[in-house]
Amino acid sequence: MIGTRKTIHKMTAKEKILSNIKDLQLPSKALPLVPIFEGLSDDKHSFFLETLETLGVEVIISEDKAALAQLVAERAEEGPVYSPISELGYTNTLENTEMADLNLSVIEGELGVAENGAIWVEGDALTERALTAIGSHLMIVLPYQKVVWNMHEAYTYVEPRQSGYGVFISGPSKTADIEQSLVKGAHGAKSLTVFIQK
Amino acid sequence: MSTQYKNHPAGAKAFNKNPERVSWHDKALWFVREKRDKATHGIPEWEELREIAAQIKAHTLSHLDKYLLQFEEQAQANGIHVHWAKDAQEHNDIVLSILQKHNVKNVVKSKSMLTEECSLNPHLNQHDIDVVDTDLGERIVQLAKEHPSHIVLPAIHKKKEEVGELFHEHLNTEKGATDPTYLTRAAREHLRDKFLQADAAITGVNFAVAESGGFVVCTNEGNVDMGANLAPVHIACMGIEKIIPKVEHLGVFLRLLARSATGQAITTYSSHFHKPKGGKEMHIVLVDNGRTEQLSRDDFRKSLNCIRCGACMNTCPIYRRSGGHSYTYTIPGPIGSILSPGKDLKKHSSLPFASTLCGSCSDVCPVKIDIHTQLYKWRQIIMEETNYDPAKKLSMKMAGKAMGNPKLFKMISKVGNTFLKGPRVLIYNPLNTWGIKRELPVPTQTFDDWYKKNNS
Amino acid sequence: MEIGLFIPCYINQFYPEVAKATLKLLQKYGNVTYPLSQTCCGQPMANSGCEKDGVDALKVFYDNFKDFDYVVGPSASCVLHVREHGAHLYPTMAPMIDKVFDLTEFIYDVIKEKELQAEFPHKVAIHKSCHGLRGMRLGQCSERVTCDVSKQDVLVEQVTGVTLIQPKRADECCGFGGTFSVSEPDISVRMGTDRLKDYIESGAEYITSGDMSCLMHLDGIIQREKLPIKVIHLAEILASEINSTTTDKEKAYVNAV
Repeated sequence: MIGTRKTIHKMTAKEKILSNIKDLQLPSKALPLVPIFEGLSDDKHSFFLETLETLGVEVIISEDKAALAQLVAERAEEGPVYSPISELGYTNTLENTEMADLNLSVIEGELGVAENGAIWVEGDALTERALTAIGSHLMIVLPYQKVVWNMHEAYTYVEPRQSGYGVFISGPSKTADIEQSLVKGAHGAKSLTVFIQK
Repeated sequence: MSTQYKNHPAGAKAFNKNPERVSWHDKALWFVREKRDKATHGIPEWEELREIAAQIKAHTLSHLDKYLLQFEEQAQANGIHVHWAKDAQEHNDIVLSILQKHNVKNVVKSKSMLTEECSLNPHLNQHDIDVVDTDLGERIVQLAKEHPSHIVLPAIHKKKEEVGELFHEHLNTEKGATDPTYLTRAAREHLRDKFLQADAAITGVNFAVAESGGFVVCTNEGNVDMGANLAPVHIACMGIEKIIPKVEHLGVFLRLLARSATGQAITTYSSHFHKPKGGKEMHIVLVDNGRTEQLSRDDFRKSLNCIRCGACMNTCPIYRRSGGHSYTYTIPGPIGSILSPGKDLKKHSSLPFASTLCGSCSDVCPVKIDIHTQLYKWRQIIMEETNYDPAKKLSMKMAGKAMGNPKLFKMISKVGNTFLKGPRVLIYNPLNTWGIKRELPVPTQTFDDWYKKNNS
Repeated sequence: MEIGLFIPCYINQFYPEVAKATLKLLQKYGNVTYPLSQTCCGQPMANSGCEKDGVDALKVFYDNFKDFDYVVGPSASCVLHVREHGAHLYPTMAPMIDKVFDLTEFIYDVIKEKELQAEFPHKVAIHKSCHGLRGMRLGQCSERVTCDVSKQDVLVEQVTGVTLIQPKRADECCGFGGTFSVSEPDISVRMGTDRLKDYIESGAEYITSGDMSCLMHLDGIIQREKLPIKVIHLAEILASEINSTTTDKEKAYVNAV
């Protein structure tokens, strides 16, 4: 090596973006604390149920575990059912094309949010992630006690990173892209049934 | 392609040629604004939430480099490929190269204003890749060879009869069909095939979380969950301002977003992506494209708070009556009018003037962007640095001079008064844009004259 | 209390009755002086993007009004301009900014008037001018989840005989917007027309406001289209005489427009 050679270094996009930001030396702004705001009434369960109703969700509350199996069996008469819940007995193999023909997917919900009717679903607990949207109809099974007031509270339980894909689902899929007319059943489920297990 | 108007007044004039359509458009959006009001008034801490959200954004922007690096590190640890693009061209090239590597021919895309901003579709089309927009509204404008006229309601300018015609032509629906349920179902079937055949899915990003290295996309239709979960490759494209520090911050933003956008408590799907499914690939493209420049502008930095809810469009009395296509930028309405001048001051110089500065946009904004104040500030820069409206510039200079000189000002006022007392044909001339559809006030004895007579 | 009467230039020119009513009202509360060499606040320049061209106007404003305890004008819009931009455009005037008030705000917040002696036996809708409402927070803004007092409503409710009418879209902009009204005439007129439709459908006889500029724009359309509604500035209602006949007020109105 003779002497020093000046390396001509072309900045990568990453370096350029980061240096653009660094060069500004913006004064630091404080990060606020986020309170867990209180619920909107005294009774989060009835609020949750009312919210689901306004979302057009069919709600079934049952203390009887067998009721779920019976319900799913009835619905199975309408068309193909798949459920990763093994005791229901609808765990046949799934290929993309078969999934497209699904009439009903029955999946487990981890947590319900009273304020907005959203239910957290861990996508990687499902055989296929697309089960959250692909069936013509969707049924979510949710334990009664797993209801929180709002999203702040929800994120103290939900750890989205633990599941590679997770989703809050609130009602059947919908669109109002044609003249603001609400139509249920856009790309995801046309109807949502929430089976609440007491 | 939708007509590109040379400036906002031209687009507004064209839209107002059909007054019934203006009423219809205004009503549809006001309906959304009212739903938003109802939803927000149900949350007692709404104003506090807005403040917290604004502070989180301000904090994040003041440490953006740190959070981007943290996000990259965490996302990579999750098995996500992270790419950086300094402009639209780089973004498009990165997306193209990922697709080419996988020999992708069919792409399904959902809700991404960023890819609109970067004109990704034409770029991919040029390389024989078919891109299907899967959001119903975006599919409608794509089939119509137009651009979205609203960031949340892309086809809000289209009547159901027009959608029916379009679907009859492209999706083989019955001629004359206008029922929204029928048309939506037809699109559902048509797009199901596209989802199942897609080799890759492209999505936008609503929030990317630095601490967990994942991102959240919000839809009502479920198209993100269909597209991203079925295709072997998922590419998510995001502007660098979409970063938030912590998972708990999602609680704040998800409470604000849908309520502001459509009056829903939350979107039907709030989909969190952190790791690719085994055997599949997940990519994130972090895009600057003018954002660090906007970050450098003290007066306009806050515009990067935007979470793309569209509330400022729904509330804007001008947007509602001129339509999204009257704006010269991809993102229309008030927020677009403060983002666009930073991109091309000359091209978008009419946009900050497309406002009465009524301030409603700033008050509906869930992240407290001082939109109307920024409109005011862009006006100053435009008049200073461009040749926009030289006649106004000159008249303001002269008027300003006169106002600094009471004697001169009173004299000119008198002349003006006398002129207004003159013949109608002279006053209501074609240059008098006030007088085309409005009467001018009738001059009388001035207060000055009355006061001098009665009080001195 | 020494009050400087600030009369916006177009009110001086076209709406002297508004200025007279303002003077009459203020004289109840202090010693009012009207400096004859006042010109304008400079807002037209500023909102047109030429704020520096408005600095001389602010200097004149400062020279005329710096020595008063309060400076009061019948226009939220002009007052807001002085407040928001006065200090940075003409730093000398910074100390006086807090003394500059809109008329209704002054009567509500400073005087704390509880018993206005006035009568106006009509159905009236208040047009919440944007600069008064969102700029100065004179009332509850429909966008915000707050419990703000609508100060102008409270004052008008003190007037004997008034029936307050609430139109649809409580606080939509009328479309005036200063030079917006001439640079975007199509939208401006359309907004005004829509606003008038709401007011007419509400059954109001009068549209009143703290900003004559909004009313000038609306009245321009009313006169052209011969619409069945009238405009009147809030000052005129608040200063109206008890037991005066309707025709007197009609006369005042005719003089004003």
